Amino acid sequence: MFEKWIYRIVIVLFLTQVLVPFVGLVQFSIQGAGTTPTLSSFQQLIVNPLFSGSLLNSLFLALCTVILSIGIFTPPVWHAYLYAPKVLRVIEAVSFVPFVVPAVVLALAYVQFFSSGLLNLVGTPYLLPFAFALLGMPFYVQVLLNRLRHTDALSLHEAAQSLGATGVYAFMKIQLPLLRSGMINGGLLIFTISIGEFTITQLTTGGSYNTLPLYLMIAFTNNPLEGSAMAVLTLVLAVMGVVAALFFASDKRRRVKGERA
Amino acid sequence: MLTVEHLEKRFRDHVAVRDFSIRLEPGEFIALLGPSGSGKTTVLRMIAGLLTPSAGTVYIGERNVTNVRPKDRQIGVVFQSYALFPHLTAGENIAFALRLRRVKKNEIRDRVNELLGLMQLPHREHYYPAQMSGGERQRVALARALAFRPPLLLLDEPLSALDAKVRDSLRELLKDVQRQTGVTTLMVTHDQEEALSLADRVIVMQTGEIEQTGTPKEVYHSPATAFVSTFIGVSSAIFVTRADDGIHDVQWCGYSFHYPLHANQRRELAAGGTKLYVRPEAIRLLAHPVTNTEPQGVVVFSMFLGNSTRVRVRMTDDTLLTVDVPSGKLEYTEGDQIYIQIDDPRS
Amino acid sequence: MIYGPLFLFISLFALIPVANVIANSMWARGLTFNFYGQSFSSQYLNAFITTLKVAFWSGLIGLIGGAVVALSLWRSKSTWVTTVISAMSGVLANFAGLPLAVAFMVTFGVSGLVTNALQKFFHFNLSQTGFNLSSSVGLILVYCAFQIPLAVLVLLPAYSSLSEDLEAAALSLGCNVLEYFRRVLIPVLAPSFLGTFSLLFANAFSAYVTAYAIAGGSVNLIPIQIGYLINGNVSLNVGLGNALAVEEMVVLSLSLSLFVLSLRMRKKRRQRVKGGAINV
Repeated sequence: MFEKWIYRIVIVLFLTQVLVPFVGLVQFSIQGAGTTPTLSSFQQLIVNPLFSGSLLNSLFLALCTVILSIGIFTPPVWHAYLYAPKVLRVIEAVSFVPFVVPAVVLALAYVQFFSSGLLNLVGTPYLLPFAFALLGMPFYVQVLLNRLRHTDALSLHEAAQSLGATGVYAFMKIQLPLLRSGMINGGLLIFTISIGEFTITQLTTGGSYNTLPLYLMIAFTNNPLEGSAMAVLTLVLAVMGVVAALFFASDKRRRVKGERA
Repeated sequence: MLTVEHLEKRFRDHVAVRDFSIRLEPGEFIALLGPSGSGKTTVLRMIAGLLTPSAGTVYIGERNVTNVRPKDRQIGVVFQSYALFPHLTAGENIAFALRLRRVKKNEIRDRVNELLGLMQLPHREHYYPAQMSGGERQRVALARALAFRPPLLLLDEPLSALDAKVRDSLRELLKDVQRQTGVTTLMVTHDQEEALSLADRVIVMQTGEIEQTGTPKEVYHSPATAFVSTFIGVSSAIFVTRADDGIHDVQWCGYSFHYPLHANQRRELAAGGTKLYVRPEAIRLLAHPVTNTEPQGVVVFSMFLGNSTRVRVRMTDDTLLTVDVPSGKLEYTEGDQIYIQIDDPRS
Repeated sequence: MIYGPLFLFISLFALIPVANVIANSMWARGLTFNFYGQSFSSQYLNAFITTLKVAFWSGLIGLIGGAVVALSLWRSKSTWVTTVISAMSGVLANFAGLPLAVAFMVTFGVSGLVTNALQKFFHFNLSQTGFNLSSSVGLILVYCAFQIPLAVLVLLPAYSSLSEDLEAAALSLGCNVLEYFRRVLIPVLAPSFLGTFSLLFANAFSAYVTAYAIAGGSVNLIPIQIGYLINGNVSLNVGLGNALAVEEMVVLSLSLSLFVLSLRMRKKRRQRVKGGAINV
């Protein structure tokens, strides 16, 4: 019993440490330096065209990144998992590139590589979905692999083919539905990463393309009240993304149980 | 040595163990046998102090240990998963309890060597658990539990994680070690063969309660309940009455024979009749009747098992009997008309 | 070819640009190590040392804090608290970035929650003590806000991979709970702790947004310096930026190899019991 209380105290301390800055943030965003709470900073944000523009830009970028990632990553990871464990090891290793090449270095590399010729993309937002997809790759690949490990994908694929399905048909009709929860889950993580990315956006576009985090930084410098209101909104978006991903992860677990029963 | 009185464990509204009492004499080897979910592991964990009982008392010798912490109970436990410490070698695992008790270094070394010898593992002292086979890990776990000379040893499904061959040889080693050390032992198992071959007494459990306690032979030949008869081996249930010839024990379809009865069955027999669970090897098939009282039947199914052939016989009163015919004897095929004889398994 | 698009993507958006950086770090109309020389001059050497310091301390504090929190979560056996805290940690560790920095600046600012609370309840004036969020100590404090949650996320599975029988065995052999921690739990998890530390270290070493937003130019860090070189805040010297980037990647590779090594150690030790036989 004594032991249990120590654990509870530790957890409460941790929660305090985690929550204090956010309580402070929310309190500041509705109160500012004054004393009367007001939602005026949020109201100002909503009518501010710069804010809504940045929100739309971010959502659009994030959506592009998610579609791109699902399209590029899913088929090879699935195929390698089933048939080419060596290739899978290469894919896994490569997916960890963002841990060795952090965003700043990636930005530096892009600024030099995409600055001339056919691929003169610096200063435009066209690089960003690719960069975000790269940053999200380790998360997406791991989530998808988890899903694959939880289903007997190979037997199901072979069964479908033994029943007369072509490889492509079996992939579309059997494997994709099986992987759906993993794709949604990983897609949500990529979405959340894309919505919050600051470094590469700032350093490769030079501020020419206004996204949520970029505008947050500007707003906070000009008017901390507006900036903190934006920070609250951005956080809410991130929390929603992660909670939705968790929801799909737990949904998956339930379904696997059902399949086995 | 170990006395357990009216032990009970409830998890919320579910009763896992109900009114469980046993007494182990010094040096005795008792097996707690039951299917999964019968509460046998719960009993073991309560005795070890790893679970707090909802009611009841546990004595080791004369000492009430119901509220004593596991570390002060001096009970050796072997876990089903072995639970060897992965960061310690076999030798260090065995020495663990001795180091905790601040035993002198050279004494620890001697004890570890002695145990490694007893377990036939002297060459594995410096191996890590991950480098050893399942059977070797099992023996290290046993040595570790015995190292501090506990008066009581608890074994939780000690052989169930091993494949059949290793299991057989380890079973013999276990019996040997228990005899040599004389440690009072309580083993939990769902494997009837393990229980019957190792234990001096077997306790059969189902849904948290004791179904029958007895020597392996008693439990095998005279199952007290239908559950025991079906859980341990195969048997055919027949309804018997008291033999009217005054010589034999029971009578069935006009055929009288000797058969060991459980106390409950004897009581029921006196009151009119009882169900008897006859083992397949106790029944003999005859092509022709010997005394003209042997019941008649037809072979409806036969299956070759290696050292015997399993035959199912439909008797004239529609009872189905399962019979094992030793290989090399007369072969029976489906449709054969036969007569049956029931042997007294005690003879 | 099913792998084509993936490897084209990886080559075009990771491998080739990065190889280009490495090549350019020692090539300017001929092979040269001038950029590396510059990168070890006083200003950038200081940046290197400060970055190492911040990464080390925030990694160590993050590891200890995360280990204690994850242990408490694991031992308290409350699934819903664990789920809620994992979700929170997931947000903080991976996705908070800029909003987290803003939250700290606001909370520790002139009229922030913490500043006010300290003043009101303890008559303690934060700004008079010389405490400043845009210092290396301040940065370490802010970094801990995502390092501890990251450690919790990484360590929770490590704790729950421990068999309950391991503790039962230790107790039956004569350990109390603290002895179990000291003699079994900590040594068994040592590789996980090492791996977690190397992950946290790399994480802090490459952090840019938080440092940029909170400290700007007032704390001299390698990622910030690279950012400046890109933005041209300093007279553009791409070669120097490349040299710094290569050095950064070397440090990150080293800590990542430490992480991989710790995984190997864990795998080597993991007790393999035949499938399905483990007691539940």
